[in-house]
Amino acid sequence: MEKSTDAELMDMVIRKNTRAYKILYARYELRIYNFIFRYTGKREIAQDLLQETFTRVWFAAHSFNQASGNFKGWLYTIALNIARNEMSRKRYAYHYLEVSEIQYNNEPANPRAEEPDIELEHADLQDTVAKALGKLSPLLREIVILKHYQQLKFSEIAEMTQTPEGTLKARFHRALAQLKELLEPLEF
Amino acid sequence: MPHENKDELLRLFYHEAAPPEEQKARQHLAGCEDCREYMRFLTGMNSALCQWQDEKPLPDTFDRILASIPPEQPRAIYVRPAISARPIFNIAFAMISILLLIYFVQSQISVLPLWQSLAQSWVIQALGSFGFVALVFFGFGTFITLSLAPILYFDLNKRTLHI
Repeated sequence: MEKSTDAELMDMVIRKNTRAYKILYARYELRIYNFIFRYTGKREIAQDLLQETFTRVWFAAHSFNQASGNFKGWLYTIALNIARNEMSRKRYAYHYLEVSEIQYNNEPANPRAEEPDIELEHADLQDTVAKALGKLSPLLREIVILKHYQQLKFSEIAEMTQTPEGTLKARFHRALAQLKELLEPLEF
Repeated sequence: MPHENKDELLRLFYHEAAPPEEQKARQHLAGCEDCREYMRFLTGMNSALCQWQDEKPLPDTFDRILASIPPEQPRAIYVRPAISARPIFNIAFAMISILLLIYFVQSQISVLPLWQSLAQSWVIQALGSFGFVALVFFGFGTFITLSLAPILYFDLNKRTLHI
């Protein structure tokens, strides 16, 4: 079953097979969690929304288009809609992510590392990038996350977001230009 | 490739360009400092963004997802009998009730003083008192049904759409 395609596993999930469901979860948990985490900037929300995304996969499995077989696109669409709904709630409506709201892994991965300075420097860089992304508008942040971190093609993002590819590319250029200004001190 | 087309550079950078398109873009890059500068910018941004590395969700997330899914209830299977006498009894009961009602109404109106003059009309002469009451009943029933049909039809459609 581990070697089955996503579409084959979804066929089993429709018939309420929890083993197939677990395999699909294992394949996509990291991607979906990190997508939502970078989008919302909050680890607890990412955890909850990851859970909500996969719960929806279970209950809406019958609506998956078997003919297209594009499970990845379908899953990202669900995750994106859930994340967008979360961000459009009142508390986020009038401002972008505040810098202080963004949670990031501030601690070095291994405190006993031989070169703690390098670890700390890396944590600082991660912090700076996270803050810079948080300052982008949700639409710009979304395209950077989907393109850069999730490695999706522009055509896939266009299909998911129902937005022309040209518009997405223009947004991506704009997002990079803004990020460049925000990350200027780093001199990449 | 037009000099100012940054979209083509994006496609090249993310390996989304078709081989001939890519070759054309690379030829252009070889002689265009502005485009090379933009590619360097993309490379720089790429390495900057890579600083924010992936994290793992809590290890028990899947168990929590499974716990939030209610267990599948076994569906009660209704086996339909091959032949059922119930609809026939229902229809027979309804018909007898209607006939009794008509009989009762005609016995009541035939004692009214007005009935003596009405009984002379050709309709009652032709149908009889029972037939006349039956005709009034069914006529009224048809009128009510046709009046309510459009409302019931549209209401049913509306409910279907909401589902």
